Amino acid sequence: MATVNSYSKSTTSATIPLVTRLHGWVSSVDHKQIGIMYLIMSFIFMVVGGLEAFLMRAQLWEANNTLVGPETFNQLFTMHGTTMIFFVIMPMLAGFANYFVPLMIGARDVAFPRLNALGFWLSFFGGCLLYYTYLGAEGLYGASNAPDIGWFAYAPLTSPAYSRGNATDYWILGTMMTGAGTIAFGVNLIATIFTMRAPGIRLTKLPLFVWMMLIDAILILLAFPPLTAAQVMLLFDRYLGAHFFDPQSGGSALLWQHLFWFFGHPEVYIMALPAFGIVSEIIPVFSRKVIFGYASMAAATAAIGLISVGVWAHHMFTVGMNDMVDTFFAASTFLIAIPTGIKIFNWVATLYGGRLQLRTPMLFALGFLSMFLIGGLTGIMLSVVPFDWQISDSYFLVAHFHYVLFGGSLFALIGGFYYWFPKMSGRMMNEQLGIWHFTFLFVGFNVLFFPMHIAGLLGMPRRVYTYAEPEWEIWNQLSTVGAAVMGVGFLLFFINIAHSLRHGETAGDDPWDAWTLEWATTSPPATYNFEEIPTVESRRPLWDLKHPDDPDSQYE
Amino acid sequence: MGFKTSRRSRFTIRVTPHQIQNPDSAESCTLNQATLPSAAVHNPYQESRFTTKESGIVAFLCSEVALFSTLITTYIVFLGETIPGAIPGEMPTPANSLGLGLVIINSICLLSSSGTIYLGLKARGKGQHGLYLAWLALTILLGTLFLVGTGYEWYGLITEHHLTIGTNTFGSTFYTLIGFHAFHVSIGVVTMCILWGIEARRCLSAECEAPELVSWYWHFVDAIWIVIFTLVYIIGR
Amino acid sequence: MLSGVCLCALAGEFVFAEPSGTSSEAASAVAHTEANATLAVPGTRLPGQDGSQEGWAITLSPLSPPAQTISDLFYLILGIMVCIFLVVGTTMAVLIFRFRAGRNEPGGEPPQIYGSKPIELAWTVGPAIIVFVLFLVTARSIFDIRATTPPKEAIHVRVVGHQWWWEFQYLDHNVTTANELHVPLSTDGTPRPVYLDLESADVIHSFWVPQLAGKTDLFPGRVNHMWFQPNRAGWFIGQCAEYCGTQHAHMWLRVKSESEDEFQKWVAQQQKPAVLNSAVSAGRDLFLSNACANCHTIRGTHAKGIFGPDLTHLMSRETIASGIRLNNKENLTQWVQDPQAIKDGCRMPDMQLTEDSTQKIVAYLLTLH
Repeated sequence: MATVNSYSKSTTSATIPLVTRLHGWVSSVDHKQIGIMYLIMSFIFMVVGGLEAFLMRAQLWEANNTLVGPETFNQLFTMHGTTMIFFVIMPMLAGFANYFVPLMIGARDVAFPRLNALGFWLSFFGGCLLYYTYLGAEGLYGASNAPDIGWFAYAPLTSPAYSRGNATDYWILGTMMTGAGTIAFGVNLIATIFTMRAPGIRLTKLPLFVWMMLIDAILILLAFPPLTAAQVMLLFDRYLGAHFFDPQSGGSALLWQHLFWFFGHPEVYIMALPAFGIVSEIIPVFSRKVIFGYASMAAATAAIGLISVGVWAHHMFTVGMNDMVDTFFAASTFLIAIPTGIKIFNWVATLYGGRLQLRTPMLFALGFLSMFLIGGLTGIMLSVVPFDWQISDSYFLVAHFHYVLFGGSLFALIGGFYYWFPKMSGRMMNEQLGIWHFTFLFVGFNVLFFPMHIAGLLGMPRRVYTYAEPEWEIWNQLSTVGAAVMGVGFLLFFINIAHSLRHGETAGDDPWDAWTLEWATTSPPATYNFEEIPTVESRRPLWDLKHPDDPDSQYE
Repeated sequence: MGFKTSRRSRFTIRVTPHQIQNPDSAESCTLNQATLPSAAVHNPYQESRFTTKESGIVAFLCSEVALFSTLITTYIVFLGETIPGAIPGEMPTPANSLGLGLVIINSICLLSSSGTIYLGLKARGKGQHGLYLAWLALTILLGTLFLVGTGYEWYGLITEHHLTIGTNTFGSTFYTLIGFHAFHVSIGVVTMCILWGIEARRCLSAECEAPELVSWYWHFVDAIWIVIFTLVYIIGR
Repeated sequence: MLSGVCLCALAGEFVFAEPSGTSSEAASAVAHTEANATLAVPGTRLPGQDGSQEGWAITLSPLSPPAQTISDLFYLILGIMVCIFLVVGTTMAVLIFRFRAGRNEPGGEPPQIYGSKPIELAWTVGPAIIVFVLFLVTARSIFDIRATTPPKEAIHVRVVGHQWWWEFQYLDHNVTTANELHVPLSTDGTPRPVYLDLESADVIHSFWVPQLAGKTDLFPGRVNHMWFQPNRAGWFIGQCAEYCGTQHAHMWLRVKSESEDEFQKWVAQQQKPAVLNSAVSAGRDLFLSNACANCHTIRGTHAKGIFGPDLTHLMSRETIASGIRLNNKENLTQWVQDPQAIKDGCRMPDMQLTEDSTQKIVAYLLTLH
């Protein structure tokens, strides 16, 4: 039966009972509804993960604080990290990819709609399974214990001796389930992009968001299975008496690190590439210019994807690997800086000579650009191995990865949300609230994370539930204030969404005067997306339609 | 861009020449994923080398390659490792516990099952439905024999050589690697049984991609076995 | 604007920091007057202790060659990164300002620029060169710092990480102690580098004393090596830098660099068996008959446990509980009475001692100089 589009203004929606509408959503295999469900899931976990972060910041407000004890704090940072990575950023990018990749390539849905639904529900239930630990898991300190092993769960802290009870197992199973959902998503995306493009969309004519999602999906297929394998091995260690990571029986704690980071590093690029893709859509539209250097952008993305599987041990410089290995991974990490830099320059060059409309999506894209620049530069600093020996596992590192993952990925994803909200809902978001949201977020973010660079240089290690050094206090307090400011920003964001869903002005098909195929259909699109699959001649089909005298196809 | 509803199907399948052998055959199908009557089959999308389902299976198999590579790498990492403090002669190792005889028989079963499924598909392509079912059944039998043989080998290892998953790192990596592979073989066998059941009732049309894709999975499982066998039973011993 | 705020705060720190170079007696006098201090002065990094921290940040106040190399590197890299940031950031800011859409713009789109091969080549080659230079610098410094063969005069210490304390074994001197590492000062005449063999008894830890060297992890089942060579006397502070469980935050490290004479005196003292003072025999008997002896070693008695720190010369240490409390009667009493109250989750259980037993045991411990 046709799924009911609950944002349609058709009169039939008022008479359909809520249960039926909910059932329609739960049983949906429509990529747009699944995309929205991914986004909703991501927002719910974002709030939870944010509260966890805020509690941590409150605890770290002053030296020797006793707001939360060590057990709780250790659970907080474990859950915060796992949540933000697996249940916030991954679903958000999956949501946008699900919704917009088929639209951008002129397809009617993804390749395997039911697999798509399965992937979503696996992801969602994985998150639920992990959060069940707050209610019912047995941990080191009795019942109701979330895992406290850190988001990367180093062995042998995860062995049965040091992580008693089953909280760790919930972590393993929850993330494994989500990982399976993500692999399903990756398979779907590859099949969709390779075989369901509208006529004329050759692989070299893909919109950049789609191209980056393609590389992203390939990375997912390469990175998640090793994590699954490692997690199965850990489960065997914990329950079947295996010795993979058990040093006392010939196993190797180092092996877990290698396997985990072989997943973990591509994972951060998996989170970054969709952000790059979104920004590559927003910046051209809001500068009114074509992206500068499409070919090098595409090539740089492929290079990043390729090199990213060869840099994992830069998370392990302090582990005591031999010098040649350290040098190799330093070299590969430096190498990956080059295509990343190229992309930043291309985005900046797109601004040149443009007519920049500083609307909310553009503000977030520019915020991404500046924050990712800082994060990338501190990343290069960290690849200088001896410097890493000093400040790895300190707050400097915490600052670095938050700049790239939050200031980078999340800013871009939020920008994408503002950009595509009109398409998904048929209404515009409130611009004033959007600007306030951005301001609070941008200021709060920098006040929160910049001082962490300094705290790290002052010697503050990460994952400490308290500290005694009075010198560190001011930087921690700044961070906590920044967190509060950001919290206000997020509140404005959710208010904006709620308000705009009901009272936002009508968006129309193409509110931003953009150029990719999703803007060629209604807002929101009909279930079948396009009446007829369009034939396309360039990377910006709507530009060609709007400027028939000066089409892109002449210049590509 | 009005709201005209369209009765166009959402799922279109690209037809490759070798699949349309019997366009007039009376095979009708009760499954949802049936193709349209052959006259209306067309692909509205950009031409691509693989069909949608083929791309999906290839992508999935790539992820499986990543999975097995991890397990194989782990096996290699622990080759030759001993438990600190253990007396070397008394611990089960590849050299003193793995026998070649049974495993060679198993391998012959598995690898020839690749041949039988290939022959089966060829027969299907020619419309020889009964022969196809026979080859497919033989494939299932050979796969099952492989599983039984593996089980028997494990029984011997556990009872005679006292090699369990918890004995030492060899035990852990061996059972995990072979076990994952056997698990994949089992999934393949079950899938082929389901396929056989459906095909026996003449339910899948000539254009249906499922049999071919199942065979790709099966060939993949066999190829992985060649790697595992060479590593564990030849190089590792 | 933000960097301005930070710079002001930094300057404030500098201006209001206490002058360094006070004498060690004054420093310890300050320390010991705060008898019941919770996490007191010697556990922290305040300047004022002999010879320690002179710069604004502990990682950039190196007093040992590895840390010095890293500190020099830092300023070079920071300089390059700041330059890149200024160039790209300013360009961005200028472009955003200059090309922002005005209110009364004529319609129509600006000229579409698809790319420029020379420009793209330039900004590929440029970063490649920068990155290559950084790589060479990195490779060189890795080889400079990494542990090489120790010279004859080196001090060898085997460091074993436990949840949540440090065990130090001086292999050449037959000394075992905990949490506070004494090393002799290297002078120009006789360099005495300290070579550490790092191992772990349980999970992964990380040895980080920023003023001495970068951090190196302690792995169970694996031996890592590092070295440092303090060029100033004084206390150096650090802590475990790899999450290792509940009390990871309270696994502090204290390294004391002292003159050769003082070091030899300390070693000689540590090598002696425990003081046998008959006045506290009641406490000693309690210690040995309770389960204390199962976890702790006191050489010269029956206590030979190795799960907890060696207590033979407990009173030669300035702190207890891995650096977080001053070593004095009040804190010791509190610790023996209920360690979980001080270090929630630590491996020493509440021994359910009566107050009287506690006092006797503490009286005994106080004699273990």
